[in-house]
Amino acid sequence: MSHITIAASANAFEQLFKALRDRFHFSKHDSGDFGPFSASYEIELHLEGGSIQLNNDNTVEVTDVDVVFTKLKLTVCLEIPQFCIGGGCVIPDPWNGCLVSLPRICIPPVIGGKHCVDLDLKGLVSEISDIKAKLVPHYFVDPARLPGWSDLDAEFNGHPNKWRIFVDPVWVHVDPVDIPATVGNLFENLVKKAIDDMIPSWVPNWAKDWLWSLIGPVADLIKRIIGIVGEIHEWIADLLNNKFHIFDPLGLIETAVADYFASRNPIYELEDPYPILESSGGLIPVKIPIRDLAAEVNSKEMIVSANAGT
Amino acid sequence: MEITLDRNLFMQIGLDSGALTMLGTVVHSLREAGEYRGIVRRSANPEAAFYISADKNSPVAQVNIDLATLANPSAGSQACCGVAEKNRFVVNPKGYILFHVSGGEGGYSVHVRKAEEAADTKIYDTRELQEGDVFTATLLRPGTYSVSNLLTKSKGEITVSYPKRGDTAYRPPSPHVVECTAHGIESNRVELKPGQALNFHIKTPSRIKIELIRPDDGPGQPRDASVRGRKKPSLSDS
Repeated sequence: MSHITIAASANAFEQLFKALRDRFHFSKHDSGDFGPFSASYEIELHLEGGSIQLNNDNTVEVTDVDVVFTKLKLTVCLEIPQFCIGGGCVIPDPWNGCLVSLPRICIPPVIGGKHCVDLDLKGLVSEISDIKAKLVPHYFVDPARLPGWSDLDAEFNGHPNKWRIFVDPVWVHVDPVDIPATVGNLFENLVKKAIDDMIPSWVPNWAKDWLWSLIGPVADLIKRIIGIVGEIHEWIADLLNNKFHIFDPLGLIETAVADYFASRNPIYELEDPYPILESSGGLIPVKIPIRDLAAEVNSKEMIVSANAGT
Repeated sequence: MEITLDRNLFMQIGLDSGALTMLGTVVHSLREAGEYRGIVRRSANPEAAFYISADKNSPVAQVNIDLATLANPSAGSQACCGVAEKNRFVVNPKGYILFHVSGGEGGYSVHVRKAEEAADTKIYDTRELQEGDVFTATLLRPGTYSVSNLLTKSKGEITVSYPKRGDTAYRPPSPHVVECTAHGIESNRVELKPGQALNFHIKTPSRIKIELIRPDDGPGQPRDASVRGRKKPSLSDS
């Protein structure tokens, strides 16, 4: 039988987990160039909600945690192609198509540079549909503790060793980000505005209408440049959800969540040696060393057990 | 980031085969082998010289001569080579020379003659197109135009429709062809799509001039009040 047993009810464990969850923040950015277009993203997120269940098989299961993007900015830069007139046949060749053809006049005269649009997708929500975890204790030696310090020196200097209990996920699954069709329309409108802004203000309205007739529907133009056949919002979703193996923010979130819970932020920690009596009246505190710490759960509570002594 | 567009593409509305601008080209065949010397002129002023070898052994059926680059070597869109190379061209005598203006205000005409001293050597001048030449006009500005052959005094009318934003990207159809004969301009009412070229096949000495008489500013747009070439009817006229 263990010398020390600490129990936390399922409700208390839930409160501990919520405090841990609320401290989680993650940010990341990445970019890539893919010829006629390039893309980059910036994300910042935190976690909200979710429900927790303690199981008799010594596992903790967390479901339906919202991944709330406080920043989700996708920048897509497109190389607007040239639109040319001319090139028609002046003198046909009965055997070889055309003997003399007109020179082409192209707009813009030179291809170069990409035109970027920023999609602000802040407010979109994904979900960690499932985290399955076990409690794992780790002994932590404070790296700031000097070699010559006794346990009392370490405590007085605020660097005691600790037993830490981590929620170590066996798996974390983040659902794909759902991009609504309206985002595709928003992207179209932004590209249209970017092209409108490219056309100098002195160009008369009839010429703008003529240029737009050459450009055609913006959605078709975007699809042609990027090389997609489906819907634009589906392409954005696929880009963010790593269907193209370009960006993998979901994978990074899963790793960050797993790393956060498994090794960076304990759900509970105990000082070692553990203080039994605080120092008072000129007496030093009474502390007992803790060994053989174990943590487990059942459907009702978390139980931490340990032995006292060196 | 704004794109750089040549204002002349949209601001120069009329065309003149004797004063070429960005949207007009002249196609001419030398027919006889030999060495030729050409002069690019703006109004009466010579701007540049160039040389053409009409070589029977040349496989080149079409040579494009950019008058803007010749007149202003640093500004042409096809600036690529040394000046000495830029003003020398080779073409088969049965092939064609296409004079065009890649940018700028234009207004060029061209003289070409054989590089020999004989006084009776014929001079080809684009201000008087010859049988076999083709003048191509590309009209972008929607509206109604008058077209006239200044040498035969024949006239016609061209209508360019207003561009529509459709379900697919618009591409101008193939050039429309008309013949300029001693009897006039064949099919004197031509309807073009925006940006569609109009090829005038020359059968008699010609100088083609095209002028906008009634602009079309599209559905729902106010008409341009300054209608050129027409007099507003008044009571005193009747």
